[in-house]
Amino acid sequence: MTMTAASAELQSSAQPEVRPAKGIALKAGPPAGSGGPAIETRQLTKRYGDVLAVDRLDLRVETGEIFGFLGPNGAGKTTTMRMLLGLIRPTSGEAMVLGRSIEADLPAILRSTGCIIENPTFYPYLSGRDNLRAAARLSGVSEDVVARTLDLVDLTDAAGKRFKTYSLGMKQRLAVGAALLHGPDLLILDEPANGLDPAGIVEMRQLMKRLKGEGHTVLISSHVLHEIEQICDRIAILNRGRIVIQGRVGELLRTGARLELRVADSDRALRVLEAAQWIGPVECEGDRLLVAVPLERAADVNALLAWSGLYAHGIAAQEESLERYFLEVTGGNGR
Amino acid sequence: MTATLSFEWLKLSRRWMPRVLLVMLIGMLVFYFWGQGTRLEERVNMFFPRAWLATLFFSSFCAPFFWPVLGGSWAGNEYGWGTIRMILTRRPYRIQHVLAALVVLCAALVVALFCMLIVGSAAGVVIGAATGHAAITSGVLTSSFLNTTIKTFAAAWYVAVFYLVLGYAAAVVFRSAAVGIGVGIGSTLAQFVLYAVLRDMGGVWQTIAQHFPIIYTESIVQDIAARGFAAGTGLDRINPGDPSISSSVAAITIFTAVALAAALLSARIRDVTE
Repeated sequence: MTMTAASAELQSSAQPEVRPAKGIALKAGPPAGSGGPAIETRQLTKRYGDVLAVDRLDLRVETGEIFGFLGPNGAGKTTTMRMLLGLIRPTSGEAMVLGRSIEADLPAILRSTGCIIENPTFYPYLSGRDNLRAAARLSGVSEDVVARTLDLVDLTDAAGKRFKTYSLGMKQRLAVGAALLHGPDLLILDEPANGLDPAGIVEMRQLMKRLKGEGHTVLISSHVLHEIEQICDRIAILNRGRIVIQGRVGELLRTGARLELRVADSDRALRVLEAAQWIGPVECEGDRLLVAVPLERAADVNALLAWSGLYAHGIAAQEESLERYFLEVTGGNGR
Repeated sequence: MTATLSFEWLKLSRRWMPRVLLVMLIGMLVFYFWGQGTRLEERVNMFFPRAWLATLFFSSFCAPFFWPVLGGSWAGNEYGWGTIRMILTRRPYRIQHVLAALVVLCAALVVALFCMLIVGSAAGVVIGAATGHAAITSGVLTSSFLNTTIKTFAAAWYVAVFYLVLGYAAAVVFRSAAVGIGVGIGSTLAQFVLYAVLRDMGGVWQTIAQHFPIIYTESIVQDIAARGFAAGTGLDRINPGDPSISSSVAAITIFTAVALAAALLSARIRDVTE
């Protein structure tokens, strides 16, 4: 794929009468609703009978950031994304996208938004090229962008083949191309890395970063937590329709970081550490102690032990991984 | 609306299913001409230009079994393939989407009827020549006959539109191509059975049966075309129990409107969870 390299080439092709935009969006100018959050929901709720799919969701995605939307299957991620795109009507609450209400200004929102919801959906009897032409007609943009979009997602050679003959990775790339076709300010991507090979995942990551660099906002859900950890500025973790936690990736992971100490008399060290009120829970495994404490206080912990005549022969920071953090906050429910 | 129409046209121009339906219909039309051409009483109605009326009559007979397939699969596959998401996340005008699809499909029905007329004309000429008659029956092509032909064409198209909309609406309501096709064709078969049962029960039941859609769609084309068929043949007879042409037009309009309203309401208010 040559997505990152070719993205800027699309700039000249968009029809100016559609709406000013920028970047891969092929257009220039500030994104709609710039200055405020790109997405803001207040008490957004969706109920299906007795089932509460999304429960009073308060989400805020800032303009220009890559926001990760995480949660186990059935947590309400896709339902939330569908509500933001007008496919599903909220039971209650409100949502603003690009400074506009989804109730009142959905057409304007969609002109500035590209999306992939769940699996790529195209007409199986149409070729990749014709599917993009169809998407271009619906979006009201010139079909001139189709060829360059195919090039962008490295599907030029397969452009004439029917969509039903595409591999999953090719389908996913076509979906990415279709999402970028009309030069959106905001991208809502539900599992965009599905079916991509490792090289494709790397290129997808580079594309996301490139889009961010051009000022685009990306809301991305993924089960590839490692990818989310690498590309997202902030994340929200959903479980059973509610946001469990929301914040900057680095900060969230730091809250779960622990200090790993190796001490000869670990039993006595355990008693000393547990007596200190500024230190969180301590686990002892042989001569190894795992201490829940901010990493910047490692020297204080070492000093405390030294005052008690205990000398650590090993100190290391044990960083929290997003995967473990995710499992912790979803109660091990995240599969 | 132009963008949505253009989108639907692109789909129609690339899809094979409507062409396959048309080829099947034309194949059956050829067999119909062949069969009727061997019957002395009806043969005269197969000669050109009465072949036009015979073609339109046959097309309306086939309409309940062909056009629900087009309408049902057109709408239902949007849900089955999930492409409804692709449409509505670009142009969230749900009513416009339904109407644009139906406008394009109704235009396709006009094209299909013209194609059938061409084949029917050729078949009529061949039958005439093969049976030792003139290729073109003289004295038939009058302004009155052309008027009848145009009206028959409009009626045949209107009947086709009803069955198309019926299949389309059922597919939208149930979000399934199979159900759309099944309801479209199945309801016609059910009407045949129910009609026989209710007619035998008599009284109010018989009256109800006489207002089934199939009664109106079967009679309207027959009754208009009858004026152009040769006198003394089977096709020129009008059943005295048939509803009037204006009643048929009104009834088909109401049935079509009900189906269309169901499709529009369902498309407008329901969540897209596919």
